[in-house]
Amino acid sequence: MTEIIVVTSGKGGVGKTTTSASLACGLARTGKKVAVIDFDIGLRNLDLIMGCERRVVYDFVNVINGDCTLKQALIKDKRIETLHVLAASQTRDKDALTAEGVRKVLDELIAEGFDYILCDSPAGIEKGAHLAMYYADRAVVVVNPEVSSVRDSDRILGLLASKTERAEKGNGGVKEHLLLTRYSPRRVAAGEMLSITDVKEILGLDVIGVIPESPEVLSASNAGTPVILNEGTDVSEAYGDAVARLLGEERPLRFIDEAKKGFFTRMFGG
Amino acid sequence: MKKAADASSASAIDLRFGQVGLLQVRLRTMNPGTILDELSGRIASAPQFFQRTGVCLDLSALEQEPDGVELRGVIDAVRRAGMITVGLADTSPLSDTLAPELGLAVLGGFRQLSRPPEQKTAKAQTEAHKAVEPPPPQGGVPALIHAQTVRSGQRVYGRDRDLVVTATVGAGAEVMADGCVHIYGALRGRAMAGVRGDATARVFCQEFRAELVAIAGVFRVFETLPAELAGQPVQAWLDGEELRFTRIGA
Amino acid sequence: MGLLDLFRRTPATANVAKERLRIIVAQERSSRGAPDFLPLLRRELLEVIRKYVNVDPDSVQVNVEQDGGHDVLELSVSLPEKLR
Repeated sequence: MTEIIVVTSGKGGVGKTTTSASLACGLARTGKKVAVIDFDIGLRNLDLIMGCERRVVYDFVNVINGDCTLKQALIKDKRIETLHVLAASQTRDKDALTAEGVRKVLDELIAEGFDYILCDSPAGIEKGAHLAMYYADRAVVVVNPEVSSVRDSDRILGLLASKTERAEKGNGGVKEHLLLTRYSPRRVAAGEMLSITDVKEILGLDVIGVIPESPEVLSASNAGTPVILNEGTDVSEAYGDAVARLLGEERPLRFIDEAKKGFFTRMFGG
Repeated sequence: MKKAADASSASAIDLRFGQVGLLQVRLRTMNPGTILDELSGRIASAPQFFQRTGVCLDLSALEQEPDGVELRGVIDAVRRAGMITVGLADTSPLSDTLAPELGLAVLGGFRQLSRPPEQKTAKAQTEAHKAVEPPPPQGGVPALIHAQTVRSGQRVYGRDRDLVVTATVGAGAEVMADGCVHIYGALRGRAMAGVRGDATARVFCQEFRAELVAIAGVFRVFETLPAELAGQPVQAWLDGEELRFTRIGA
Repeated sequence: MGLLDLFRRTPATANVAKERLRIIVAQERSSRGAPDFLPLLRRELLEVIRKYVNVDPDSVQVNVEQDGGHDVLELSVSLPEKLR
């Protein structure tokens, strides 16, 4: 049984691609066969985050157009054997992606026995984002604890509830999860940042993961390593927890409290 | 033109066989992404040098027989790397069936798989050992001696023998031989020995400033010269699949 | 962080953000399910009503409410004071 998961957010720059890459790695690490697809036509990034940019010969649109076989276009990850990447096309033609084409590729992946297909959605609420979510069984909505991201996420939740195949056919709808990124416990404690509870309350959804704000994310993307693979770091652990929860495990949220500081640290070393 | 009726003398084309530099790519996988990655990695030191170079694909080391679709993927990968596939090496019987389908030439004269690649199975190893070495160049043929400076764009080729250049080989010039290449001057251009597959051929020069050195198709491009070799008398030889360089008399 | 910061309370901007979001999200959700023709319908209705009664443009409210399995089109027009 294949599960199609869309990673989406509405707003750009909140960490969709970072999240797609890390969730895909995390799922594949458990031995599941995983494909992660970049839906951002014209602006591909997933290959860079995954560190496989030098191996892109064919892309998603090539497969849809029949320029090559799916097998030729799937890039096998060098670190995890069961992980495969399908890069986005660099074409400027936004119409290159069609609902039928996407369906065809997904069906082929399903026939190949993939356990999970992750769809890395482009930002915005245009066609690419729409197609990325259309066939999804589940959605991970990536949100930063900040007003514009929360508002955009709410719009995306509205689309998930109406403009997906599951919603249209009344198959119980798409199962939605929130994933908070760039979370700074210190700033939440100082009252400068929305808390997990605030975001949960406003969007009315449960949180599947909270990723702390960390320079690790940037250095991992510089290196082309999905940050979940930087073991021992908070971010990697937090993504690991999110993957476990996606797989149905119950785990308490971690890295959400400010490290307690003594009076002297507060005074002399900020 | 002597006579109008003599159509053959007024030919529209001239024919001549030429020796051309082709990059031979021996495939061990048909995965386009893996091939692109390695190709672009290997040529990264001198991308200009390989820009639009002709490529000959060698299918002899593949464990599974590729089909036309797979081969098209490889050709696209080569194209992404900035090079052009012009033919298949005659080292595999498959080349004869696949080449016409893809509009490619079948090219001969390449060195056969002489040494098993590192991660091969025992079975593949025995097969590899069965591969025949091409006969070495005929002995007793005197070397081709070239006394003038070889300038940029020029090429001197010692077919079936050694080449001795008693002057400088300039930047952009190319000297090659089926046997060894000896340069009693500075080597600033490219030198290729064992062009038709003789892995025992060597390159010698009085003053090493090479752009490229190749022996039996195994090459190394020099963006920056290793300090211990620059300007020194140097010899190069092939140790298995590895090109080695040392100072002469060091 | 210096000594003074210990005594100065930073304004809790997160609370402001939360309040703003609560309102805007509620607002957008209510208009989200609405069919695209609502604004046009509202304008045309307004024109018809104005043939007979001179009402204020803001006095016509058109909404679609979900009531159980039914969509209910709700129309409210507040008439000017002197007509009553």
